[in-house]
Amino acid sequence: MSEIDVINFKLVVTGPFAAGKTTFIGAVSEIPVVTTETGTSEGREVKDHTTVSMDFGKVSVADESQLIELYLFGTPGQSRFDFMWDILSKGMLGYVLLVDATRPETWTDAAAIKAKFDELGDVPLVVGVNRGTESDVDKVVAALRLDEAVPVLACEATDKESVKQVLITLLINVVEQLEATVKGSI
Amino acid sequence: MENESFYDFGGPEPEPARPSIGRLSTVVANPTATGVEAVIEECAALSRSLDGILALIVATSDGMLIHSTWSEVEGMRAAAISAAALGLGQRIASDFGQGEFHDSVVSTGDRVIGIYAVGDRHVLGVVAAAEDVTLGLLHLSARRTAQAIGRVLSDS
Ligand SMILES: Nc1nc2c(ncn2[C@@H]2O[C@H](COP(=O)(O)OP(=O)(O)O)[C@@H](O)[C@H]2O)c(=O)[nH]1
Ligand SMILES: [Mg+2]
Repeated sequence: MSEIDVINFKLVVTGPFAAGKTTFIGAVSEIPVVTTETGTSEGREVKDHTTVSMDFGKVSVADESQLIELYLFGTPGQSRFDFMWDILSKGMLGYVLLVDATRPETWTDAAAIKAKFDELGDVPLVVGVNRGTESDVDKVVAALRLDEAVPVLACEATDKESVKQVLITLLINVVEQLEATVKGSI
Repeated sequence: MENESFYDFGGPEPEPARPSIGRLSTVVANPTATGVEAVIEECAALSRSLDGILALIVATSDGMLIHSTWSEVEGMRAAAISAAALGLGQRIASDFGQGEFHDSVVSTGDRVIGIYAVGDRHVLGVVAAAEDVTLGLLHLSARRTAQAIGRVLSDS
């Protein structure tokens, strides 16, 4: 056990209101999730509660030599809380942009959030098309004009295995970028 | 109790949590082991000097735990919450306060929780029993501790 390296990764889960961010973190976290839900005064037809500050959860991924601990910080979705995006993105090594496949009207919000996050850090992202299928993936890629280097996965935020798949995809990209940075600086 | 705290405040003095720091975190440099030891000592000194301290936490401004008097899981959650409180406090200070964030206080009747800036890269959280501390004394001591921790962390 003492030979195992523990590495901590801070990742952010963002996306529009009701995309499934809080659900996503809750599905995989090994610790009781920190949530900051309150009642909604608008958008009640979609859901009656919303994240006002952050969600926080943790999940570990292990192989023979390493234990990687993923610290997951979930953001509020509404742009009026964009100051929390600045705060929560501090030190992030990558982020998940969650998009609700069943509500295309939220996709312009998703594009705006992505533009903001790309300013906040030059880190890899993975797009999770929540409640989506392969055909939704193509639609989201087109609507958000995603670069083909950005991985886009259909997922189900309620399903632990599906969430893990998204996180592992992001993790691989984060590690690749870190290795490239290390090589570049030598 | 309807809204029971996740956090453990009772029982014997817990073991200091294993320092768990975001090594690859891009914003905040990680303290050395001796730096962490010095932080633990400053926290212990604050606890000794003031009655009514129930818990202490030191975290990086991006939410990674450096030291807490809670268990590791409790400490990790508290680190994320404290960093968010710091960030929000800094935002309130710059938007409404024309200056730098020093501290904020959450009062619950039974408890007083102080959030203190430690330089601009770390945060100190102090939970105290309301009946045992006065706010003035808590601020005086905790700010001094925050400064001492800030010196330790900027040197290590
Ligand atoms: N069936 C299903 N419901 C989901 C899924 N993801 C989220 N939801 C529901 O969608 C609503 C919004 O999710 P929430 O996690 O609060 O969204 P957030 O605003 O992005 O944090 C909640 O009622 C969830 O239960 C999913 O993958 N499948
Ligand atoms: Mg939420």
